Amino acid sequence: MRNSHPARLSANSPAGTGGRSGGGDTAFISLRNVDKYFGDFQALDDVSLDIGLGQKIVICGPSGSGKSTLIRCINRLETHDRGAISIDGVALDDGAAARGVLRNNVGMVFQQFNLFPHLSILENLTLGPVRARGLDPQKARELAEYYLERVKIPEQIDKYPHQLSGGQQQRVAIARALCMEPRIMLFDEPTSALDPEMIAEVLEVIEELAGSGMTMICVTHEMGFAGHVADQMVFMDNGRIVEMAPPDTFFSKPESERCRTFLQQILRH
Amino acid sequence: MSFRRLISLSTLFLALLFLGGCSGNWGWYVVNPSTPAGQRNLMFLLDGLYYTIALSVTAILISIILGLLVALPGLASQRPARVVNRVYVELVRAVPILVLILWVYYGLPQVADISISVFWAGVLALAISDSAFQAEIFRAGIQSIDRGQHEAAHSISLSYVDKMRYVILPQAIKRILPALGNQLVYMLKMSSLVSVIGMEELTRRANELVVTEYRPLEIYTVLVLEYLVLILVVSAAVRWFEMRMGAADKR
Repeated sequence: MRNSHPARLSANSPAGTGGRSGGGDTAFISLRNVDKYFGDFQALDDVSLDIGLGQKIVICGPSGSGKSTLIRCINRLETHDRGAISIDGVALDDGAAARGVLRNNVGMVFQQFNLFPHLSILENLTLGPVRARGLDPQKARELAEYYLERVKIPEQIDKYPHQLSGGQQQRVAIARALCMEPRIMLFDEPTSALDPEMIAEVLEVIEELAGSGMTMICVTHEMGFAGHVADQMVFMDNGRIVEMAPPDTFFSKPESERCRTFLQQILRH
Repeated sequence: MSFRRLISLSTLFLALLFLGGCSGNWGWYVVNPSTPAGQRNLMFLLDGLYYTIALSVTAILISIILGLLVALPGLASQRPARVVNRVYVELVRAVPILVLILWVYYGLPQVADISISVFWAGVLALAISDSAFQAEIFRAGIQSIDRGQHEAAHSISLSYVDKMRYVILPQAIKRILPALGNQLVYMLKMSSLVSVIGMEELTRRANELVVTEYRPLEIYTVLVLEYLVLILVVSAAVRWFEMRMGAADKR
């Protein structure tokens, strides 16, 4: 996917230059003993997790278990209180190096889409590439057209977010994240705010993205989708990672009682 | 709709005045446009309009910029920045505009060892005074924008300045437009206070004419009408502008 892109080679993107730890055995994202508090409430409790390039992780768990907080810490929407998070060997802190590594590597899709309502779809997609990556507007437009094509709504480019259905808006949000050409995509319950008939079209786009080799961390309750896509399933409860296993083991014989109960509840209907 | 109301209000007001004029206590001759003297007086009064508008518009533009600069630290997560914002807003709001005008005109040149014209002293005092209110308006407007917009801007790595410029402020300004319109009307009225330091705007002109013609009732009535018409026109324009923005929103 990255090589097939027209603007890719000429794009003035630091991601194109070498010096990367590519795939292999070293973790691309690494969390070590991460704690996060909101006041007195401990949202993350000693979380450690390694994710290699190309891996797809699906996180599930009851609400308030820290799933969203975990992925929000990975792109520093939340700052962790203890422990260490690093991406591509760069520790996430307030420094410029961390900002650079986030800009070049991490895209995010939100539950509520969070498109910019006053900007057209095209402007939504090109704002980041032009302002944060320094691409010239023509290149950014090509990029936007390319990714809108990939999320299957090229014809919506000149519309405004409110003119689109929820499923279309979420696909635009995915395209917006992709226009930054990240190596990791974070999905925070991407289908939870959607009407049932629109869930499939969004999941389909995410599955195709997974098929193209994108590294992904996805918080979702769509277990069918998780079974197709995930390399590893993660179950969280009370801020801790309780269980982590490949999907077949995870669904057939979960080790912990809590995970078993959760799966029973969620898969019952 | 508002234009029709403006006309009917003004006519009603004028009709009442002329009825009063019939009783003999009124001396409309001072502003009677059919006599050369009355015409001269009327033009003298209307001439003040230029400075009233120039003063208000310049002051409101400066106060919007100043207000935004004061509002931003008020939204920061660092406490010292918020303290700066609070202190500025509380201090400036506590000073009466008239006092600020006098201090800027007579006091500031001595303190800062500069000379300042009446016009710029008036603009500065009005702008400073209004900036505290503008800052509060901006703060409320920016705070009303959903957190998800900030997070989305963060997720595509926009800098703080880009986030404000391209994402947050365009949405916030649309929401605070009615409040900004109110401030403009307020400013037009407050600009009358600058007459005390000799600014030749509407109120000063009226005062000067009263001194030479000894007809305060008629001249101040004209002054009231001048402000009334000015402000009704501005309010109507603001409402029209808002409606247009609203229509653009529903696009």
